[in-house]
Amino acid sequence: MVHKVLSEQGAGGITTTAIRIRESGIERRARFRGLAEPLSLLVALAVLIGVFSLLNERFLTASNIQNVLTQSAIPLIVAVGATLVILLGSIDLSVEGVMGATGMTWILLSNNSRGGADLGPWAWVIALGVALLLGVASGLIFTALKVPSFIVTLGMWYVGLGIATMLYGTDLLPRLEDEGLKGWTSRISLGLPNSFWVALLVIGLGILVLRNTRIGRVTLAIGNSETIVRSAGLPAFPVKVAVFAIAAVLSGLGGILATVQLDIGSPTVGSGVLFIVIPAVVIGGTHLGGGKGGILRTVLGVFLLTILNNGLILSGVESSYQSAVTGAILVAAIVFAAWSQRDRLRVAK
Amino acid sequence: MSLKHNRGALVRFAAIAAVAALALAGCTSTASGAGGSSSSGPIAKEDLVLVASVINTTNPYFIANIEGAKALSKKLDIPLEIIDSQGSSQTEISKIQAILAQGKKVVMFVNTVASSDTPTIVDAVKRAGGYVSIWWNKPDNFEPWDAGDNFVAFQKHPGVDSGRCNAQAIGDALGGKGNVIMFPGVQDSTTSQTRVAGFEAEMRENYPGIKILENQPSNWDPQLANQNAKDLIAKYGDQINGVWSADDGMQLGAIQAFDDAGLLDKVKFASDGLYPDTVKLMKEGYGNNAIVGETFHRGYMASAIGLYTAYLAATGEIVPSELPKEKRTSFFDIKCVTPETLGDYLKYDTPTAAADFVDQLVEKGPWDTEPATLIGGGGPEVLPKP
Amino acid sequence: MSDVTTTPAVLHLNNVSKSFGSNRAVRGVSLSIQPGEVIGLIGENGAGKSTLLKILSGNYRHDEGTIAVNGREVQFRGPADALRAGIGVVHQEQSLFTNLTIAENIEVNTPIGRGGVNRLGLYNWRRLYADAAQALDLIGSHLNPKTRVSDLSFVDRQMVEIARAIRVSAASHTTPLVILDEPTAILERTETAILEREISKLRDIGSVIFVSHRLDEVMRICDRVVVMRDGELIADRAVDDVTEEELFRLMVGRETHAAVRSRRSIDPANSPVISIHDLTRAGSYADVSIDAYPGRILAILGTSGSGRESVARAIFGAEGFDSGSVSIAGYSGRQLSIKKAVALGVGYVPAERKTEGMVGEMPADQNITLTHPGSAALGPFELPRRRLSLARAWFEKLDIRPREPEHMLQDFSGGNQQKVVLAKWLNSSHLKALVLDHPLRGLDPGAAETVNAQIRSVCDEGTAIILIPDTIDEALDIADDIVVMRDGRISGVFDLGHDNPATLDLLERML
Repeated sequence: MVHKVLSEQGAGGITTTAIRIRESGIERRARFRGLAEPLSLLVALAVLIGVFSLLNERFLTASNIQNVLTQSAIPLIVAVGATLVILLGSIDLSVEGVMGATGMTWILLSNNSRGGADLGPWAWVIALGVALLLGVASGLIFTALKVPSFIVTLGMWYVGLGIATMLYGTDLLPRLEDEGLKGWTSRISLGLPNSFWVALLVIGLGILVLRNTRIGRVTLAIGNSETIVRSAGLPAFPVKVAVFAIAAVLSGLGGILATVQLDIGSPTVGSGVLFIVIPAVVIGGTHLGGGKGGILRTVLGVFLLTILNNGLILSGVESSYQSAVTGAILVAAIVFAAWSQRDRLRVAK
Repeated sequence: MSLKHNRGALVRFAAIAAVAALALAGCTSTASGAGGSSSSGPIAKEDLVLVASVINTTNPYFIANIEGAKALSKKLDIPLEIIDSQGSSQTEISKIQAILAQGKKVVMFVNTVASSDTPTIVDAVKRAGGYVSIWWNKPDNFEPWDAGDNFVAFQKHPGVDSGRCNAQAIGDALGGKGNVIMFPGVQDSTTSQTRVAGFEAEMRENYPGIKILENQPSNWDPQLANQNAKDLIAKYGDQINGVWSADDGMQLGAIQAFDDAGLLDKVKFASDGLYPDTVKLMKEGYGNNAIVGETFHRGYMASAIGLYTAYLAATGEIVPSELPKEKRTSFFDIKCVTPETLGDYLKYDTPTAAADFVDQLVEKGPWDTEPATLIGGGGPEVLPKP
Repeated sequence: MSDVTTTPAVLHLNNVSKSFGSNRAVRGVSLSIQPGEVIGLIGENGAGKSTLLKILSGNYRHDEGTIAVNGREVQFRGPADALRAGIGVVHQEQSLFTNLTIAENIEVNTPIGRGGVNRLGLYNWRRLYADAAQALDLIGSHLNPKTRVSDLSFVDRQMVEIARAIRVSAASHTTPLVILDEPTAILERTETAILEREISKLRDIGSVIFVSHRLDEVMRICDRVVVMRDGELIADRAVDDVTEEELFRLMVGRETHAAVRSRRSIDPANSPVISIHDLTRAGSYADVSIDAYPGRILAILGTSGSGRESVARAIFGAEGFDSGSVSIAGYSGRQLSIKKAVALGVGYVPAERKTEGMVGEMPADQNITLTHPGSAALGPFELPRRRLSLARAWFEKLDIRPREPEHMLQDFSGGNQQKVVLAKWLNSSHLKALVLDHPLRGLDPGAAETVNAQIRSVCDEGTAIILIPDTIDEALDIADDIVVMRDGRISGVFDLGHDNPATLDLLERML
C-alpha cells in the first residue's frame, strides 16, 4: 500500500526533475568523450611535427609536405577498407596479396614494355574486377563457411601473391610505357599530389558510406553485436561480404597506384603496406573487437606513421637506430593517444 | 562420467603418441647412421638430381639463376628441382630437407637467404650424402675445407670490387666533385656490406672531392628505395649529385623518385647487376644518361658454375679436399660496365646466352669460363681499411 | 475470459505448443489481449515464459496452435516478421547497439524507404532524428536522439527499447503490442518508478505484456495477471480479484515466505570486522563511515547516484578512494587492492554476475575453486577428482541444481549461477566478510528465497555481510543493520534490533 502512494505522488515530481538533470548530464559527458580521443591523437601528431620541424627546417617545406602526402596516399586508400573490416570485428590480412594481383593484372593489360594488349580503361575495370573477386571470395568463405577472417584472408594473401607471380612468369619486369601515366601519382594538381587527391576521394566516400548508408551503419552494428543484428532481422550476411569486397577493391586500387608510382609491375608491390595499415587503424583508436572507431581517426594514424618515417630520415637519425626509435615513439604515441579510453577494470587482451 | 572417460582416452592417446615419437626418433637415428657413410666415392649420373634453391622467383637475378640451372640440367641430362625460399630461411631449410628426404643424391646450388642458414644446409646435405655449392652468403668462419667434401664450394662475386667499380663511374661522371647518397640492401647482409665498403673506400681514396651525404638501407625493395629516395630528396633537394644503390631493383625505385621530382637530368646513378631494364635505360640514355656505371654478372652464370662444381665433385671428377683453397672459397670476376662498353655485354642477354655459357662451362671447367673467371678467394673477402 | 467485443484482440493465442525434443516447454497456451490492456505474465524460471516470448518475437516457431495479431492469423518466419506485425519485445538481455545513436536504435527496424533510410540505403539523418524524437516523446522521454546508447543508464536504455518497439508498429500502422521482459530486474527503485509511469502511458497507444518477478509491481501496474507453471497457463486473473500471496502460491506451487528474521541489537562486546571511516572519493561519495559486525547483515540503501556501489567496491579494493580509511580485521592501509582484500578474508559477489563474477565457459567446479582452491589444491596443482568432490559437497549444501558440477557454468540458471559464485567465496577457510552487490538481481522469487536462506546461514556462522539490495523490501526482509545513502553521504543508520523504520522513512532518506 505504502509503495503505491509513494511512487504515484511523492516520487513523481522529484523523479521528473531528476530525469531531466540526468538527460542533460548524459549529453554533456557524451560530447566531452567524443572529443577527448581524437584530440590526444592530434596532440601527439602536433608534437611530432613540432619536434621534427625543429630538427630540420626542410621538414615543413611545401615539397616535403607534398612528399609525405604522396607516401601516405596508398596506405590511406588501403586503410579506409581495413578500417571498415576492423569495424566489423574482423581483420583483412590479404591486402598485400590483393595489391600484387591487381597491380600485375593492370600493368600487363596496359601499355607496358612486355607488349601485349593495351586495354586502356578496361585494364582498370578488369584489374579491379580481380580484386573484387578476391574480396568476395574472402567474404563468402568467411560468412558462409564461418572460417575466422584472420585465416581466410591470410590464405587470400597468398592466393593473391600466387596470381601475381603466375602472371609475372619469368619474363622481364613489365615497365609502364604510357607517358601520360608515368609519374602521375606524384605530379601536383592544385597544390596536392594526384595520388593524394585519389586518397581524399576514397576517404570522403568511405566516410559517407560509414556515416550515411545502411552498409556502414550495419557494419558498426555487427561490430557491436552480431547476435542483435540477426535477431533484429538486419542483413548481416550481405553486409559482411560487401565490406570485404570494398576492402579488396580499395587494396586493388592501392596496388594499381603503387604500380604507377614505381613505374614497374612487381608481385610484391604491396610489401610493407599491411604493417602500416593495421597499426594505423589501431593507433587511430578503432577497436580490434569492432564497433568503435572511424575513418578519420585512421587517417590520423596513417599520417602519424608516415610522418614518423619521413621525419626520422630528415632529422638524420642513424639508420641502424631508426627501427628502434620508430618502435619507441609509436608505443609512446599509442599510450598517450589511448590514455583517455582505458577501461575501468583495466583489462587488456 | 563422460569427463572421466575422456581423460582416460587422453592418457592413452598421450602414451601412444610418446611411443610413436620414440619409434620415429629411432628410425631417423638409424637412417642417419646408414647415411653416415657420407662422401663415399663417385655416384652414378642416373642417381643424381640437380637442385637449385633461390630466394624468390620474381627478382630478375633469381629468375636468371633458374635459367642457368635449367640450361645445365638440359646439357647434362639430369632432372632439376627448383626451390623457392619465398624470402624465408625457414621455408628454404624445410624445402631442402623435404627434397633430401626423398632419398635421391642431390647436386645442389643454394643462394642462401641468410648467412646463418649455411651450416644447417651443409649439415643436412652431408647427412644425405649429397653435394652442395653455396652462393653469396655464409658465415666467415665456416669454410668448406672444415666442413668436408660435401660442402664443395662457397662462391661469389667480390662485393668490394663491385662497390669500387660503381664509385669510379660516379666519381668520374661528376668530375670528382659533388654529393652522393647511398641505398644499401638489407643492413646485415654481407653482400651489401662488402659493396658499401668498396664504394666508400674508393671514394675516400681516389675522389676526396665527393661527399657521402647519407645512406638509407632499403632491404633490396624497390618500393622502399623509392620512398627513401623521396624523403632524401625532400631533405637535400638539388644538393644530391649522385645516387648509388646496392642492386638494380632499388636503383629502379630511386630513379623513379628522382624522375618524379624532375631532378633526373642532373643526377648520376650507378649500381650492381645490370638488369635487363637497366640495359634498356642505359641504351636509350634515359634522363640525360642518368645511369653512368654498372657492374655486370649474370644469375645464370652463378647457378651454372655452382651446380657444375658440385656435379664434378659428385661424379668424382674433382676431389674437393685436394683442391687449393681459392677453388673452395672462390671469387669470380665482375665486370665494370659504362654506357660506352655496354655493347660488349649485350651478347650475354640473348635467348641462347645461358645455353652458350653452359656449353663453354662444360668445356673449360668451372673456374675458367669467360666472363666469370676465378680471380681470387681462399678466405673471407678482405674489406678495405676505413 | 469473457470478451465479446467487436474490435479484434491485439493478440490471440489459441492452444499454442512448443517442444524441444521430449521437453514440452509450452503446452496448449490460449490467451487474448485487448487494445489498451496491460497483462502481467509471471512464473518461475523454467515455467515456459521465455519460450512463449520467443515464439511471439519470431525467434522460435510454434509446433501447434494458432497466433492471430489484430484479427489476422500470422506465421512468423523470423524476428523481422514479428516486428512488422507490431510486436516489439524489450529483452531482458538488452538488445541495443551501444555504439550507435539512440535514433538509429529506435529506427533500426523501420522498413527501408519508409523512414529515415531511403531505398538506396542512404541515411537522412534529420528525418531519422525527428522520427526518433517523436517516438521518445510518445513515452515522455526527452533524451537527445543523437546521443550514443553507451552513454545511457539502464533505465534510459529501457526507454529506447520501448520507443523502438512502438516505432515499428507506428511505421506499419498497427496497434503495437509491447512485451517487456523483466524490465525492472536491474533497475533501482526510483528508476522503476519512472518506468512504471511510462508503461501506464503505453496504455494509450497499445497493449503491454509485462513480465516480472516482482509481484508487487505486477499488482500495481497490470490490469490482468496470467500465471505460467510447467509450460501451462494455469491462471488468468484480474488484479482486483487476487492477492500477492495467492499469486506466489500459484506460481511456486507452495506456501510463501520463510519466517521473518529474528534480530538482536549490536553486541557492544563485539568489534567490527570491517570498519570504514570518513571514506571519500571525489564526485562519488564523501565522509562515509560504516561498521560491519560478525554475524550481522548490513544493507546499504540508496538510488543509483548515491555512491553505495562505489563504497562497496572500495571495501573490496576494486576502486580507489581519496581520503579516509578502510580497516579489515584489524588491518588498515591506504592502498587496498583486491588481492589484499581477498587475503584478509573478504569476498565480493558483483552485480555484473556474468562479466565479473563468473567464468561462464568454465565448468562450475572450476569456478568454485578459482579463488580459494581449498582442499582441491596440492601445492601449485589442482587435483581434478578432489575438486569435483569438493564441488559436489557445495552443490549438496547450497542445493545447486542440476547436481552436475562438471557442466559449464553458463548452462546453469541464474539462481544456481549465483549460488556457485557464493560457493566460490564460501570455499575460503578464513572468510570474514562478504560484500554482496545485488545478489538477487534477475532471480525469480523461488531462487531468490533459497539464495537469501544461504546468505542468512553464512551470516549465522559468524561472517559479516555487507549487502547492496535491489529493493527496500529485500533490506527489511534480511538485514540487521540498514545504512541509507543519498548523493554520496549517509542519510540514515538503523539498527533493526531496536529501530523499526517504515518503508516511507527509508525512501525519504534515499530521495
